[in-house]
Amino acid sequence: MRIFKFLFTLLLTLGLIWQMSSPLQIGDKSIPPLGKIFNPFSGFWANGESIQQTTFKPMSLPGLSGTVEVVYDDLMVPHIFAQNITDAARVQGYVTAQHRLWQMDITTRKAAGRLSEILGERTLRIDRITRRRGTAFAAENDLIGWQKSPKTMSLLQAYTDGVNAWIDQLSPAEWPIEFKLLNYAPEAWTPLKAALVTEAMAETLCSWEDDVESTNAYAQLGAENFEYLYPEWNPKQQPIIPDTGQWIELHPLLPPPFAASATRALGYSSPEDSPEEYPHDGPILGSNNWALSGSKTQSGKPILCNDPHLNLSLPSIWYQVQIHTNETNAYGVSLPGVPGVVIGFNEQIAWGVTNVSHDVSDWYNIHWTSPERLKYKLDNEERSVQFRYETIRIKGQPDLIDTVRYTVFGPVTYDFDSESPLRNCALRWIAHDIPEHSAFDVFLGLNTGKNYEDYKNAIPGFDSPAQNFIFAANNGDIAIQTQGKYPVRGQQQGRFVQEGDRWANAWHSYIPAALVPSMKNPSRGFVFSANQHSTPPSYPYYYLGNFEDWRSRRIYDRLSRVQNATTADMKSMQLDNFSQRAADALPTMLHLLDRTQLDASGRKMMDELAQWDFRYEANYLAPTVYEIWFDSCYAATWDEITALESGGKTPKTDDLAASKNGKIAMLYPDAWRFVEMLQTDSSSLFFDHPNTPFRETAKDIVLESFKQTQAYFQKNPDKKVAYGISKGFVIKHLGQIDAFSRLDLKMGGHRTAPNAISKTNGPSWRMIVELGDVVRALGVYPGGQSGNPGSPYYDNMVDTWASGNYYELLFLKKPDDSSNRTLGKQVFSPK
Amino acid sequence: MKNTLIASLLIFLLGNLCHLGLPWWGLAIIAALVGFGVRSHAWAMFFAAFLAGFSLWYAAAWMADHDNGGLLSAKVGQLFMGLGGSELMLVSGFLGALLAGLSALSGKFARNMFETKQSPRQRNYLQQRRRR
Repeated sequence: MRIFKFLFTLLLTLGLIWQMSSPLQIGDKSIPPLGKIFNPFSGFWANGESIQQTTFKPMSLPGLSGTVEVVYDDLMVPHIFAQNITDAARVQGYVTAQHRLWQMDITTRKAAGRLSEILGERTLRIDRITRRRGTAFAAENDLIGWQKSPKTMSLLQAYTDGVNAWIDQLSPAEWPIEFKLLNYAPEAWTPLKAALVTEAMAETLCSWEDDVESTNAYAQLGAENFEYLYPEWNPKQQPIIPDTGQWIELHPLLPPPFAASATRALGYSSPEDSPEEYPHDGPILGSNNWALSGSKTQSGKPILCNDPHLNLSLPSIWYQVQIHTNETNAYGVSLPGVPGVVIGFNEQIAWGVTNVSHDVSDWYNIHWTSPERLKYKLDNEERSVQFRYETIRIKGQPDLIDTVRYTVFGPVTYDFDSESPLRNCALRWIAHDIPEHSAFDVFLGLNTGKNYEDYKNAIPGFDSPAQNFIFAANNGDIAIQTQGKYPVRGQQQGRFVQEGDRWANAWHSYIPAALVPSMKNPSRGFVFSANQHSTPPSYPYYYLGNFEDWRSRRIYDRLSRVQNATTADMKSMQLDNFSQRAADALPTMLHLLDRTQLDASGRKMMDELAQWDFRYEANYLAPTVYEIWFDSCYAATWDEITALESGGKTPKTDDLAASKNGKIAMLYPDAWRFVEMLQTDSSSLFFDHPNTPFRETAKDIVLESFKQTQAYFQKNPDKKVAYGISKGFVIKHLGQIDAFSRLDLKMGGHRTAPNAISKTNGPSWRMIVELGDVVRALGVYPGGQSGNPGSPYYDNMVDTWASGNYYELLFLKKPDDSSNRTLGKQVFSPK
Repeated sequence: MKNTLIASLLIFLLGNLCHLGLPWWGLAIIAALVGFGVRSHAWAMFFAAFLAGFSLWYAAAWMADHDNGGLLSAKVGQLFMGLGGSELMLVSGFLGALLAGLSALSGKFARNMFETKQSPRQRNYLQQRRRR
């Protein structure tokens, strides 16, 4: 009798323990193990950090050659004082992991195509595409390149060991909360993961292309219309490197004899492609940087500014750090997972980056010689593919082994999707190449650099993602260089999908370092970039890209006009909500709008718009109205293209036929071209609606879209709100957990304004550096140094950033520099 | 009665050893041992352990939350259908209570198997026999 009672109760108890250790499935929601999560000793309660004070435990790290002191300031920025670069890297790895371990894990998982391991089947397609695009392949090639330099590898290994020293001493109670919620354990850091971090940036910044859309547009519209609608050069552009006659004497490398540009129209675009940001307006991820020479500043010394625009997340993509060694005293932002300071300054120089935005991804149509696709035709030969097997682990399911075919051009990415127009195309992407130098060697060169020569020697190793490196020094020098590895192209090569059956179409050579555009100490007194064209068309090499048209013009205007500049002027520029696009388009649209055709409320709306100063301020109503009007005006104009997109003429060749949806990916004209047409060609045939008997002009389109806008707000009065509310700006947690996100902010700014805040993207770091005998800097990013939602340093800088304020960056010379801003010191001793 | 109190206190005090890095079900072992070692009726033992487990997990959660200024619990609450910090503490307390209660009961029934427990009738008869 008694034994039954005992066994029954025991079973109940064990059953309870087992249930509390396992995740629960309720509908489509997965609840983490209740016992693990809710117990106060090792569950989520343990992740709450004290708000009263932080204690810094001394630590001994094997491999250190000397003691390293880390001073933390009131923003939890670590100021690392080490004797040499290797010790500094080791400790940088440790402290970065201390604050951002889960971010480092999820970022590298995404880049490696390993999300399904922890998230299950729902991320399988994303993982497959990532692998097939060759991101992990690119990372492996990075490592091959880096291993050529023992100095690079020892630095990387020291950083890796530092990260692992942190991980090794973690008890499960101390795991970051995301590991607990997703129920998996942190794993060791490796040098390959550092490569994955840099490749993740490359994927973000230099994977852009629109070969399929252009190919289809050319095939559907014909050469004349194509050239009319999609000119490559905007005459109002202010390129990064103007033509000062420096290219006249150049002997550029000859481009290849480029044959057969477009292929047949290719049909439906892969569902992966996010719908083109509509209207087509250049990169939504971009950045600004500029440097003023002493001739334009009040101090007489240069000022350098940089605000990279990226997807905003919590934790932030950046991590502030100061690194002081016998060779360097550098402060700035770093990328978690990679040693060094990426954007910042030291006691002599300052530097920053913006994205160059060149197209360095080309698709090649492979001519298979058999249905099994084992061999393909290349000139007169038959080549065999190389197979790469990607094993994708899926939580709760058996592994998937994906077979990827690699050609001489690159991987065939979409052949598993019979509806993709790219299913027989191989991807040639610059990031796949084995690098000559590592990216962080370049940044190390900048961290330790003292002058222009050091800068010029450091950056040529930087291949991808190509960046506009801006520079300023105490001695007054300013410079900028559009640094990257660029293929030498034939005219228009890379605009369309190319035939992969002839080697002549491949990339054979790259623009030599000496001919990469650069500028030093121009007489105009400033250098700048905002993702616009690197050069005017007179530059001897052809290139193409996703260039910006509005911010750059505004920044150029302000830099030209500014005199006796101070940091206040710089702040005002970084926070400038003025949109050049609105300034160009709105007066034209108002001029074209026939007031006599409007009712009373229409005239009122028109007058209110006419009062607007083209600034996207959060408390203004006009931007909300204008956005709707501009977008519908654009959409009404390009109805022909939309019609071609959804089941217009389909190509004749049946193996490349459009998908069952009948959709064909089409290119839409740039917004600047649209505005130009409104201004100079208002009776263009494109303003006509083909399906009406009447021949419409721009006036009709403007009127029609204005009335549509009125109707929209009549139907949705709750949408007629201040811009800050309608914008819907959010900073999301990296794991898309709303509870850890900031969803409450009402922001102004616009992608076409210098303050390029859009719904989820914006200035991820704002930095202003005043060079001089004592370098002073201001900075802020929308996040916090800690990636722990339970820390008071998780999002403590968000409100400062949102209200347009900055912090004075604490640039210490010695660890014991007295400051009321330091919280404490952490000492690392050699073991 | 006295034993019940002792059991409860023991579980609560020893349960604090969980701060030292025991696995989260460490409380179960402690409660089971106490349930085995301290003589008590089954229901009393369950109740004592339930109370102790609740107090232990609730108090520990409360301390952590207080130290943190309620920062994290406010966010985590949103993950669980908008619960507040104090409600999350109650959930923790209840889970700890259930765990301790059932474990202690298992220990008690294990003890039962080893004890030669006499029924009151049997005891009466034996006492009467001894008196003679």
